[in-house]
Amino acid sequence: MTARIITITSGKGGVGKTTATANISVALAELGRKVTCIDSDIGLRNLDVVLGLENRIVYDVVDVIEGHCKINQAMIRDKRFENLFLIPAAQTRDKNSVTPAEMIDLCESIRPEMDFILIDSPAGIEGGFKNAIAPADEAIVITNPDVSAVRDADRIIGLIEAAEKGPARLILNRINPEMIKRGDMMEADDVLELLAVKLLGIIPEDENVLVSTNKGQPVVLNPKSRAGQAFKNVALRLTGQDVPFVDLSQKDDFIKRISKVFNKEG
Amino acid sequence: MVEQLKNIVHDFKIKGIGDVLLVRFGDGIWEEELHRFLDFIEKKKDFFLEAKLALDVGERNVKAVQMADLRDALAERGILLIAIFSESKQTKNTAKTYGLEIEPERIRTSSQKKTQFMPNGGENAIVYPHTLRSGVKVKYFGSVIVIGDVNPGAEIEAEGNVVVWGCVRGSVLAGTGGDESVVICALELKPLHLRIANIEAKKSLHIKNPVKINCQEAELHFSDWKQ
Repeated sequence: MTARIITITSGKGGVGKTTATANISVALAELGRKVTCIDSDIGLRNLDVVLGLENRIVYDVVDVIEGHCKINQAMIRDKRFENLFLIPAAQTRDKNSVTPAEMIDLCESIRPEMDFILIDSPAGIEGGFKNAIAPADEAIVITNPDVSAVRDADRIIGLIEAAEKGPARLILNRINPEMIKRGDMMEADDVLELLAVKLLGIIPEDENVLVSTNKGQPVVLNPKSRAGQAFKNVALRLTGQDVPFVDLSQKDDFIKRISKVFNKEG
Repeated sequence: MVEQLKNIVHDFKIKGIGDVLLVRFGDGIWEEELHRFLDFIEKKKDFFLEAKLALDVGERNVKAVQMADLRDALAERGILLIAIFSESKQTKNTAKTYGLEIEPERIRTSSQKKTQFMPNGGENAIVYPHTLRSGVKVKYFGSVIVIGDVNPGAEIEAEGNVVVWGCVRGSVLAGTGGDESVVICALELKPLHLRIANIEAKKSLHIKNPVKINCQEAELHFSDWKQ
């Protein structure tokens, strides 16, 4: 067993890196893969909350690097999936507590035991990003379909290429078909044409994501969530399966049909 | 020039071949050697200004990103990198990708013939064989050729022409030294900022066909860019 190390990054904050890392990790674990996700956002940890593991943190990534504990002591096993682990970030330290070389050593030490190591990158292009990308074999860039997020994604894709970790693959998050129809949101094709990278997933806007995050239950565990299904598809694609992209127009047509029925009845 | 070379030969091994300077890098760590060389150029700005440079890097494997950084750093200082010589196959392949000469003999032959050696057919030009992404700034005293797009947030400032085999969505300034005879060519234009010499294009410009832009009577003139 030797893990693929994948960094999930974006440049811009708030586009869904942590949500994506948590959900793809859980989906891969559900597929039977042995997964460790690492929160590299030192000082602003969140991945533990999204996974619902915040109450179980004893040691963190900085403790491992500074030799206060062994790496196995910092790896929190998810009780729902025995093959899913989290190495949390330190909350009381800053990005300078870790170097790229230390992140490489840390990941390499668990690579033989895992199928996937997913690294949740902090926002920005400074030290935190460099720490997150240093150990990566592959990179996933996540963006929302808005002009500023796409521009930051473009910047980060350039940095990934410069670090020779490319070509990055893209997840388009929070796609709202109604807004696209109204011309208020960039179309997926426009984003892809500009960024010129391979698409890995399209995640529709879904209020279940927020609800699940607040409960510490990743949305992939909700079988009714379309975002959850889309994250599962991303995990399947990562394992090499050819999965068609979610048809985002379906729901709207369905709603329209229902609306028509009610309008007729009304 | 000979006296100047004598004074600086102690820092780097530099040889003149016709109008090309051949510099031999030491065997130290790449980043340190590069840093030392750029410091050295800063001290000898007048000597290196608008020089054509061939670099001998020995057996080193120079990565694509390192070569791009080197070329950009030299271009910012008004130096045209035209050749990389190396015993490393990887370095040679990377240099070829960037349109650089890799055979020392060709430099010698071209200087013996007293013809001007240029990598791109007779003009000071720098080639980017990829899309310029957001955050990339190219500043060059000659012409700039991009095989790819110029994305929003990317900037080109060239004293010469700018040719983009792709879509310009970012910022392109040509003739930055005031030369109104230069042109901008692109397959598609939707720039944030476009200028030749001191003449600005109007905002919200969008041309979907191959276009050539030049100055005519202090205005920008747009025409079909044909072969």
